[in-house]
Amino acid sequence: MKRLISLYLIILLASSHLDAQTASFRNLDGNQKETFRNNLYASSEKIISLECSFVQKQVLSMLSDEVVSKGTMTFKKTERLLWTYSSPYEFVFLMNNGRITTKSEGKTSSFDSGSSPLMKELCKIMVAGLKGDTKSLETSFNTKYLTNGSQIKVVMTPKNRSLGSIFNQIDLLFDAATYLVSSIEMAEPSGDRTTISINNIKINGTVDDKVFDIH
Amino acid sequence: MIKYLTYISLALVLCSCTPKMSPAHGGFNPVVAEISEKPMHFRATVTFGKNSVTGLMAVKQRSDLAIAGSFTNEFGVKGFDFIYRDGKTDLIYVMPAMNRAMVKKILRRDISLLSGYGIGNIGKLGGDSSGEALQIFYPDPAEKDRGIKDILISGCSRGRKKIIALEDFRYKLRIDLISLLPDEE
Repeated sequence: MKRLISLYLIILLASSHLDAQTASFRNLDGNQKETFRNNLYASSEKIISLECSFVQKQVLSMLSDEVVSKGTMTFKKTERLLWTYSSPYEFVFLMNNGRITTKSEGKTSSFDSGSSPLMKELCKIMVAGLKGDTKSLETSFNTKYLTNGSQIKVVMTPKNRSLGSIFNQIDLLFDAATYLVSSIEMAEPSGDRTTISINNIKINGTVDDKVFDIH
Repeated sequence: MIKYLTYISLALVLCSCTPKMSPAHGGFNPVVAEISEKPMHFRATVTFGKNSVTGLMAVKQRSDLAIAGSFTNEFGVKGFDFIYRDGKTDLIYVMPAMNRAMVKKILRRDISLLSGYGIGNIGKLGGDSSGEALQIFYPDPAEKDRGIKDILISGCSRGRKKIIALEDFRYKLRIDLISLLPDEE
């Protein structure tokens, strides 16, 4: 009997813990959502440049494996994004006004972003996520805004089938006070999940245009 | 007489059942100690004609000796998942841009050879001596006239890194795998 009571208590505690976790984020109602959405957009409009470091954790579901990558990102208006991986190996990705350039093992290749719709979309998501311009993503995604008080989570599900075949869902997490992004999480149909945690954000610092010259 | 005929028939049946892709050593599912405990990560470059994509390939041998692998780009977007078992490859997931019958046919064939002859032989690559000579894993020098033509699988080591390459001359496809060291990961 004692064992049964203990088991019951354990189950009760575990379920209440789960409840607490799922209840930590609640839906923003109409007015709250609009206020946050507008404030986020106003804040994003003020961003001329943004520099940050990131840690990317990728869960490979089939292998029960996790791959961790690290690097930095630099954004400068308009539409210039430099994505530099320093580990596990060096890899540079640059989106510069419609042109994509990659550098790997000293080799540079460049192509029009139109020839790679996936990379173009990924860049759009990253730039919008970094800046907090969720409005620009609403043509491609259904969005839901949730909050736990200190953070706002924007849950995005693709509207069209082609985007849905790449991403099941993308979650953007923002600080509710500063409107700065803290993580971008992408869930794929294959069951894999990639979380990019953004750290050391520097807004509107001096970013030399030469940073975006990749040869 | 009937006994001998039966033996000959059995031998013929067994020989005809042996697929051409079977690795010459270690059978269909050789034990690959390097990937049986935990996944091994490679920096991967897939070159198709003049175009190339880079990413990360993770491979792991399961308890049933099948080799499971995932190829993703640097940003974490999955290219494909595969399972190599009994000399054959099943593509578990293929990204929409690659989801074409011809692409999948080439992938299945080349990954079967890469897994069986390249990853399956990774233990033969030293790993401590820099500039180790290139080893040809496929076509097997002992069985030159058998197997699939126009494909070359080689391996070598550079310092502690192990390098495996597949060249498919027919389709102008090349897959290069360079192992990542634990401190890089």
